[in-house]
Amino acid sequence: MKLSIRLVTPALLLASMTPVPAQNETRLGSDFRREGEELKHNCSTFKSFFGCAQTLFTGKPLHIAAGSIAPGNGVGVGGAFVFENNLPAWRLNTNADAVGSFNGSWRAGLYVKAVKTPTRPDIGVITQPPPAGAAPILQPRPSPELNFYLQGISLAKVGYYGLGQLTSRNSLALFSMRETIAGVNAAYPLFGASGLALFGELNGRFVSIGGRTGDTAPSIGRLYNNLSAPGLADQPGFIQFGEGVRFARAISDRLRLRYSALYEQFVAPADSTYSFRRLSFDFSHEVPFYRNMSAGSAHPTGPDQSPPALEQRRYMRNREGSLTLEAMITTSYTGDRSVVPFYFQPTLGGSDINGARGLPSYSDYRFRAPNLMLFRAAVEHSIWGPVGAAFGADFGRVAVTRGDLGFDHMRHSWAGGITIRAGGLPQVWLLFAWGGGEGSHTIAYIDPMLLGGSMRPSLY
Amino acid sequence: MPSGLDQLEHIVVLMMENRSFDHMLGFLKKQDPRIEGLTGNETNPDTTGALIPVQDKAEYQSQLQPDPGHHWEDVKIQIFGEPEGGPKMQGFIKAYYHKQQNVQHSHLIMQCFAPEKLPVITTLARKFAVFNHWYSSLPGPTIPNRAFAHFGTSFGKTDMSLFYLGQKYPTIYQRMVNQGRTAKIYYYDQTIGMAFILKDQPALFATFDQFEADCRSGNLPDYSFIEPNYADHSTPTGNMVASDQHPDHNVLAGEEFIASVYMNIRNNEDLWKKTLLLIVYDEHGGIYDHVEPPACPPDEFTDPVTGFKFDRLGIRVPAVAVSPWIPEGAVINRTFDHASIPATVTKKFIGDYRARSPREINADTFLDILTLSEPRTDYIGFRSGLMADAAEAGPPQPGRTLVRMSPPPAGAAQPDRPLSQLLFDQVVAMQQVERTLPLDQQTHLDVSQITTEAQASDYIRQVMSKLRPQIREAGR
Repeated sequence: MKLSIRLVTPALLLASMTPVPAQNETRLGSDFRREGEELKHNCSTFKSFFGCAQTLFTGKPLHIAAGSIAPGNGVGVGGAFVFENNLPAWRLNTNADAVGSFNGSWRAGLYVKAVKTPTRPDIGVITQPPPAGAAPILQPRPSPELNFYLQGISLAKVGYYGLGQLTSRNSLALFSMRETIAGVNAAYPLFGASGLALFGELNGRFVSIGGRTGDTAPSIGRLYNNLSAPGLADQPGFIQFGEGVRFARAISDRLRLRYSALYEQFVAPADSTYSFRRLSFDFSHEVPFYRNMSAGSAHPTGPDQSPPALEQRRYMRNREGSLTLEAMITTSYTGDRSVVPFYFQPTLGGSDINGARGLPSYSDYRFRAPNLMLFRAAVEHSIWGPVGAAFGADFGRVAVTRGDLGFDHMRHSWAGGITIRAGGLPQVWLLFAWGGGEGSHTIAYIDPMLLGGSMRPSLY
Repeated sequence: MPSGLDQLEHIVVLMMENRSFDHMLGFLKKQDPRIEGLTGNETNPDTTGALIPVQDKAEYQSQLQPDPGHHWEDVKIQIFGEPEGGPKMQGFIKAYYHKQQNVQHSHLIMQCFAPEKLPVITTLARKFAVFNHWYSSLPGPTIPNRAFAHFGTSFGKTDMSLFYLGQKYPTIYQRMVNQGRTAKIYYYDQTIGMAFILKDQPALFATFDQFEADCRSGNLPDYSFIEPNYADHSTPTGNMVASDQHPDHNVLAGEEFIASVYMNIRNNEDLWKKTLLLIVYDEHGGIYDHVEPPACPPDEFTDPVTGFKFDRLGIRVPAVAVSPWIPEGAVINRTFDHASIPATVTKKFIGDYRARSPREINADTFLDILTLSEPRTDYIGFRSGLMADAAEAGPPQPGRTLVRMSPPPAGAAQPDRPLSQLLFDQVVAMQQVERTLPLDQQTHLDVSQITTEAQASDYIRQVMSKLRPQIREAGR
């Protein structure tokens, strides 16, 4: 894979500089030509270093891609291809990328996003005021979105500590994992700006598990077998369906909700032993902190002396921070003789295979089981200028059976640090996580909104 | 001093992205010849020498990809031609050809919107005040033009560099805070304003949902600057399509955003009477406009790369002012640019303020357009669900006069009476509904030719006769 990245990227860049017949240039042809011209212009001298870097890392249609592949598998570097081609009723974005890291992990995928947009105005003029209390609601509203994807990922090193909450740190074994996912998902908003939406997905998943040698920890096959790591012996292909409901909106300017419920069916046609269903709930609540400021009482000085209306006092609300409370519960269901393959089980500790954090002071993938519950509280507040402070607490556990889910044997983790704010909201977090008796972690992450990128499917 | 100005407590500026005046409002000239728009005879030569006329066939998305050039070099071609020396404003097609070397495709830069495709901005322009000569502040891209709206200068920059911290002049927001006034940048979920401001973040930034809440509670700051959604992005409940109208973002999403900003103010009657809303675009986005930008007094800064002394304005952009103190159908002919924004806000809320750029000091201000002695009592509003309305067959409801017409009292009909503005609006709205019909069922009438009540009545009857089968079908 590394070889192919090395070959493909320069070849595409060279192709971009190849002259194309004038008069009838295609969109893609023009994108390649202009990127070639930009590279030539920006990267020919050291003076335009920033311009060159910008073209190399954000240029279209090709640019250098970099980012985490999965926890413990390093930062991947490679190439990306981006092409946007809208139709009158659809906004289409095609994204292909391939990245590899120094530990031999890689990810390559093709992602197509299609967003349905109206072709006629659905907004009209009214010339009489609405009845009292029935003011027209005209809020920005989401559009239906479809995502098609074909992704392959190869992870050289994933930790496995056994199943359940009571495993030991010393039980760590390592495995490698490859997964190919081909599928589609869709989010369909209901009732305009109500915040309610239906979600659906259909995926084919093909997983291959291997050992991992050459590390301080043993390979998975040396410590575990198909009973203690269900699915280790063989990995059938899966068809996976998912149906869900999501609700995300501000109830008032004092409370924003983000709720989701997802029901998934993993069907292994070749070996029903591994078929299972999963129900996941996520309830997130954000409470913004406002400070009421009064203005108009300042004492103007020097050239800023102002004549008009300073005696009037103004009141303004400033958003200084927020409190987030979140609860996540995942439960799995199997037939009498079925099990949930360990590689499709959710994890807590550090970050999971999708990069989602949970109990961050623990090692990545530390606790794994078919059932999970996690409670999180996080608070962030501005300190000065672009700097803020953040503190968070996670409480959670996994459970091999649904009956084991409960508040005993809960693990906890604290995290505190600073945030870098832009636009009055935190965008970068630099945190130190501790607690739980298994060491500490430093964490740095950026609001994904700043990074953009494509919609990648969940790996489990 | 006009009474409206005495009442004014809030100035709200909504700055959209990258559309020219002619592109958005040019064909309004057919409805009001005072609007300095398009006759339909304007042309630009393509690279083969053929003259390509403007047309009213602009689509909400899909035509302007790749993004038309709007940086210094592109705008130079658009204004002065290629090669330079010919008539002005004749280089738009040639400049767009540089983006994609496809002759047919380059013609799309001449496409402009039929007014009925933009019910929000055109209604506000006709019902309140439209500026015939609001120009972007320099012939260049977004960041330096937006810098003029925030600082009154771009400190000699014509490019997209983001190094604006620690500059000689403070932003209008910092001036306001220092004076004990209040100001905020309300943004959707990403803000360009953060490139200009690090200090006072909680005080100076807020998200759009707080704007909605602050409008409801009447706690808008003295000055508010609103930024739309700049990028399509996935959310748990669907995709929030960009509403900034930057090519090739969806223009309808921008129309809905403009309507949302307006309605949030309009729905609070007390706030409405104290507020002036300015809707303006940061620059023309490389899209055709027929008016040559004028020279202006230079700034004190010179761009070291181009040698530009900021002594010429950029290409004309749409600008619409909305307030109950503005008479219906006002057309403003004086020259403005984005430096007029901090100049006006300073004049209203701060007064004499010396630490400003020459461009801002020389910029005209627009408070004097509030000329009425009493606030208007008419109601102009927007609501979504127009298509649903057309399919509903229920009785007329108050507040929904768009597609339903109550029969006139007996003897009240005067068929030859000239069309009132209200009835004309209903005709335009009916045309929007008509366009939902298959092409072979449409009347293809030019509604701008409808001048009497009888003609309007006949037109509406024709469209309703085509709609009724669909309405019945929808009712089953």
